[in-house]
Amino acid sequence: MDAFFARNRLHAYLDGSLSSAEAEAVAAAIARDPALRAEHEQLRQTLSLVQRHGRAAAPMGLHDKVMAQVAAEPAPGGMVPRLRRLLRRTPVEAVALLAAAAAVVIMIQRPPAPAVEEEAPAEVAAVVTPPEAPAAGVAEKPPVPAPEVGSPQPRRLASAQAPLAAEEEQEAAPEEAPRLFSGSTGYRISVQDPGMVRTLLALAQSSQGALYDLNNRPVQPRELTVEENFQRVMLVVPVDEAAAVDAWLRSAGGRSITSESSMVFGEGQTGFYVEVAYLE
Amino acid sequence: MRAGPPPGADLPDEELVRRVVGGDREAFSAIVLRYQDRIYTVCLRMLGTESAAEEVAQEVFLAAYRNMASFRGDARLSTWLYRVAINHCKNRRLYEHRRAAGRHEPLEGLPRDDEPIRELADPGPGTDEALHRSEAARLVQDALADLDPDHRNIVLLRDVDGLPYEEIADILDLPRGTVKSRLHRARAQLGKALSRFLGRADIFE
Repeated sequence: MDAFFARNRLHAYLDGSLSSAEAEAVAAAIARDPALRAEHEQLRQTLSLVQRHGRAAAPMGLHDKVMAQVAAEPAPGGMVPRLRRLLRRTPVEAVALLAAAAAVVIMIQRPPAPAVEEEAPAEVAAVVTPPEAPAAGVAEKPPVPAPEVGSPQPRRLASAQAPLAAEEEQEAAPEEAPRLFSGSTGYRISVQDPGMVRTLLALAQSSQGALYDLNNRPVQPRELTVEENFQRVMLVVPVDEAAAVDAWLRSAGGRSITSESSMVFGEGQTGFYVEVAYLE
Repeated sequence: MRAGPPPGADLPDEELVRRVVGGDREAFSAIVLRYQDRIYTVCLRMLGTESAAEEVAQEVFLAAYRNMASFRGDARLSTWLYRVAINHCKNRRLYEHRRAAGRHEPLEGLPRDDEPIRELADPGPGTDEALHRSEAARLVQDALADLDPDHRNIVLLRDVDGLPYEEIADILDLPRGTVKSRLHRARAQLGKALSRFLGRADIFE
């Protein structure tokens, strides 16, 4: 292993996440190369300092103050908290259903694609109509396979960031000729609706698409809470649904933002990076 | 005064959660003791002042207690607590930003989560506190304070708390690759900040 590859594995080497063969190769490279040895030593000492001194001790009275407040609370599994949660959730379900119905209506009455493209910023227009994609609303468009939860998931590209470790490069390497969603565009939607994730799921389903988190796992239906008040998702839809979805996101108050996220999609798919900012 | 470890100190998180939901407050006491340093550290690094960190750490544990029955158990308790803490800190920063601005702003006008809130910059430790800190600890605190907040959280979760990358990605709602690349950048920045002190034997004592 030469110094370049060993340098790319220094962090993983210090993390102890390399195979024994790779770790031995990195150790040998460190022993051979004085510059690499100095770099390794600096990183090792930095980590040692941070590990030893990075944590702060909680104030002496923190535990007692917390427990004094807890003493005044009903047991979390008791009837009062259950009722409180039920009352919070029931209206949310109704709102989510209404929102889903509204999404379907908007899908049916979606505006023609060219008008959307004229209004959209250039970066967004590029997203909703990839060069090789047919324009939305064209009758002769080829059939688009609907993505399912169990189908192969879109893969993320790390091209927006400089790859710093070899293993990261391996993770990010595309395996197919992809349609690439622009890595610098997306939407942020600010809501006071805790059912927004369910609404986005309904939008995805009505568009024959799917909703993923940033680690490519399907998003589960749930309401947002103050503990999860900033949700980042990727809405993956067939290309010919993109204009309608784009219009819906705008109608829901979505503002165009930049992000680091990039994904590679299957044939005929595109996607929207969406941040839901939720405040109770 | 209690002699020996507090009740529940040797129980796994899952059992403590089960007991808390069943009404056992001693079990929650064990959870607070187990996680208070970690949660307080995250709050301190995100908010910059000890008073705000203590206040928000209390809110975090209280919110955790109230919502313990809805803890789904498909994530680790530590993951859940960190998420609660980080989101409470974000909310506090939004609140402080609005209050500093003196008017109600739409959310879009607010800084992104990954932007440092300059209004909340650490005013620095008091004299007494500084006297009691070791030089190495102070150097590390200062170097951490100079990191971007999102980079700082990753360093804390990985290098201080030793969490796996997957869990950090879950807590911060970031792709695993982004966690790694940000961690590497943060370590490089820390290495530069600490470089003139590295190699000094006394720092490592």
